[in-house]
Amino acid sequence: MLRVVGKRLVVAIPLIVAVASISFLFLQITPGSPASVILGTRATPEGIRELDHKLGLDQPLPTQYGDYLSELVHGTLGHSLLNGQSVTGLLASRLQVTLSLAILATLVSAVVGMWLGTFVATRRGWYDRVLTPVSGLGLAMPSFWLGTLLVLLLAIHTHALPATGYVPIERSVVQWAYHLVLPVVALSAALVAAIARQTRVAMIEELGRDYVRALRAAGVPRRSIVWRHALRNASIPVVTTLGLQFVGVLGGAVIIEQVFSLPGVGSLVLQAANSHDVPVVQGVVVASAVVVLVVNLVLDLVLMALSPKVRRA
Amino acid sequence: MISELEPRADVTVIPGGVPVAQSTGAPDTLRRLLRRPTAVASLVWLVGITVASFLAPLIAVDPQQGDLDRLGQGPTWSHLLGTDQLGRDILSRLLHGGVDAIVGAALCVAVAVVLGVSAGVVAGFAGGVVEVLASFVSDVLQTMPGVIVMLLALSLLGADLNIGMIVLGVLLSASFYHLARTSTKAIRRELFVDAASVSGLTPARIVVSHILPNIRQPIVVQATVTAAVGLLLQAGLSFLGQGPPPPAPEWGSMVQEGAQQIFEYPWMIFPSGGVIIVTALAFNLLGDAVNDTAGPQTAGAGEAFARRRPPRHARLERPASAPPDADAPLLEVEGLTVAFTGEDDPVVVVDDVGLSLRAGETLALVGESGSGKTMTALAIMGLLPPGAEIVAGRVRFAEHELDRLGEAQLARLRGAEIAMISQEPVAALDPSFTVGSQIREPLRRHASLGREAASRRAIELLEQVGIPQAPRVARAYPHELSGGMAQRVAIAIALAGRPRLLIADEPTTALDVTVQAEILDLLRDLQAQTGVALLLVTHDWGVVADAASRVAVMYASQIVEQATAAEVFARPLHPYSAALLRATPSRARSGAALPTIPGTVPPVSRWPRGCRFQNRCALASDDCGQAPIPLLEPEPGRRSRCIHTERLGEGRR
Repeated sequence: MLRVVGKRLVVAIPLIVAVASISFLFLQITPGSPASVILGTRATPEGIRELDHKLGLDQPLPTQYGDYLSELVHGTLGHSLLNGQSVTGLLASRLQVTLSLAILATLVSAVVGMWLGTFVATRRGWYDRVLTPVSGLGLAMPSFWLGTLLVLLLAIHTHALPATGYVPIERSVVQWAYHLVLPVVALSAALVAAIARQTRVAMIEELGRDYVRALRAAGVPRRSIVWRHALRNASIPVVTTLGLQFVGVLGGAVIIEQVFSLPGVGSLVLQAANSHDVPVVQGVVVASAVVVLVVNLVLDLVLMALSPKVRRA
Repeated sequence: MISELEPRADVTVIPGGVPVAQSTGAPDTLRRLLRRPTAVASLVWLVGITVASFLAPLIAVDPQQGDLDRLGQGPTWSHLLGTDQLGRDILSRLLHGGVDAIVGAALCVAVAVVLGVSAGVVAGFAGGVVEVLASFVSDVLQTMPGVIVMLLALSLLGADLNIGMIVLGVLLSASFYHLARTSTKAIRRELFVDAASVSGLTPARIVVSHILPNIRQPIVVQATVTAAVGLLLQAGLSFLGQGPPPPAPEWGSMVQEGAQQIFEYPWMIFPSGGVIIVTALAFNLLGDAVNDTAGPQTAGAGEAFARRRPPRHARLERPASAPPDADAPLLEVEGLTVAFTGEDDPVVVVDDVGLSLRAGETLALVGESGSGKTMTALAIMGLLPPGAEIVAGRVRFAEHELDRLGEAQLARLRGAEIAMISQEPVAALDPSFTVGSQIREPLRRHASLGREAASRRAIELLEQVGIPQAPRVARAYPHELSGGMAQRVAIAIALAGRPRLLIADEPTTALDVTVQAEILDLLRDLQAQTGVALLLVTHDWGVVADAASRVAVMYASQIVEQATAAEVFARPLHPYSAALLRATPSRARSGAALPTIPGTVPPVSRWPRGCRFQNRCALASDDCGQAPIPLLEPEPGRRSRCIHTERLGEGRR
């Protein structure tokens, strides 16, 4: 297991550097002077010169790049143009909100989606004909629209669940979960649909395999064949997909946070983008890539636990 | 002349025998697509909304013109989708905003497809460093969250959503890259491309004529998915206020306005949300439909798992059979007929088969592949594939009428009374569980053993089937076993419930010759120890000679001869058995060419009237085609479906 973690980390470092370099490049390919774009109508020649200096744009390119990477290595991810705070500092209080949202949504989607896909694959017929259009609808529904609808139905009309706000997990786990119900549902819908569809296909394939017939011939009960044997094998491609989808969930969380007024990374990056606080946006891009890689590492370990073949490879 | 021998660029050399994976032409796919109502509806919507959006300045009213008398109304005749908080016509605003949404999605798809496919094809062709680098870049793109990178682009490159969509297209090109690269590599490996490059085709021609046709369909499917994602994120960013500033009508910002007015005018979120959903749904449904035209759907393996009622014929009245007397056979099959009963005419795969088997006895069911012997075995187990069912006959095992039992009752007998081993021993084991746990599961169920007792018994069983170092093998996974080992494990699992009948379907076919003999010896020893009855399905006379006491020969779904093994080997009484025996390598005279049976087994649709073997039979006469031949008893104790048994001696000379 340690070897896999080590191997993943070795691959992760160049990936992070590359993500950071691409973010860095955005500043370089900005037509005209980035400082004038950033300052917009407030731009004065002195202002631009000052900002160019602040961004290091008056330095030769290799120096800029070197400085940028050294900030990265020191773990500050750059500093805000507005208040000079380090991006890591700005992220610290907000990361929990976004991670709670994205990770819970991924877990919920995995459990519900796999259950749904398995349920349909073992029944077929009517359920099967319903799943495709319903999951199609789930995939087509914008999360921010579903979130708004949920607020209308469950928060405004019935007062069943809170529509806004976040309670840190260390203060109260119950309140934390309670406040995340609606955002997580809104964020999960599409992923549930995608996972259910994929699980269905994978389960149908697994249930047609020789070992399933052999298990039936040995008198192993249906429940065990479906949920213990076939689903375990079918979940291997599904978990792989989950890793690819997580990056989208993280992006979706940024939008959903706005619907439910959650004080997460989303509002930070949105404010930064609106005020052209470029280093903050760059830092968030790099930080998200780190999160994506960590989640994928965890999913790799899950895959190893699921499949002896992955374990040996 | 030498120049004539040189390959010509306009001739593609395709070596014989190599299957050329040609997908069907584009017009054909389109025609099949247009037969699907969902595809047609999706296309109509997409074309309709696009045209209407572009014509919005002509057909819709001014999106900024508000009617202060009609604030936040629901649908009316003058405002089909109602009005917003400023009394503006929502339908007109949606049409005006449609251009940005559709152009944005199209930009994103175009960038993703062009970039991804060309990079994928180049990487697939070049291989080496180029491929490693390109794949690394694609990995990098897949770790960058679209929304955040789009926000970065917008904060630097100006508040133009289309710039964001181009950036998104770059990120999403990774999936097209993977598709194109994998497929290019696969096709490159295929012989015909090598031959094509030998014959002077340029890589460009290969891409156009071989690679693109092959990946066109998955790319179209992926493009529809990407279009839907692009549309949703375009709306998402405009929801976040990144689009043109108000009062510009954008689909996403209209949802945002609706969300702000949700207390006063809740209706407002529905038209804008609806148009986004329907458009994204249309993209997805179109993709599903294209995907479905690829070929046959993954037809229903899962259906076998539907909770099935007892078979149709079992619901018919039939006189209760007398309870079997003490020396009745353990297994008695009478008139068993199995057919695939689809929408078309039923296809009979097992026709009026009768068998009987006593405790401790071995009956070999012999025939070529496709003769119906495996279907017979599966029918006895109640494990027929989806679509196949017992349409007539009875299967009695001990005191159970197997053909009349439901799935739950059969499941209780399987493993405990009747067990089965199959042809592919490694595939018959679950790849994710250890050998030990796969033996323990039936043990705990059938023998009601606790965890520890089951572990001990599992090791004993492994030792009983002749596995050295049983405790170590119990911890191994199926992919770590050889075929012979895996078959021993499968036998151990089958024996876990101490069954009285073991059905072995080609148990040695997939194994090495030396291992075959060991497995047969093992089966014989176990039979001697446990008294289990063995139904041995095989095409191999060597196996029959080694293990069977009685033989039933099947041809074209029927039993054509039944006798003791010794009798069949000494003097077969059906021309098919005789021919099959002559065609066995071990029985052929050395030096002479191996005799073969002329012709092939006819498919069900071309079974001749009367004897089904007549077209391949040297003894055939006009009588053979007159009427179905019953299973006759030409000599006491021998059965044969042949009316010329007395002439068989001549045929052998």
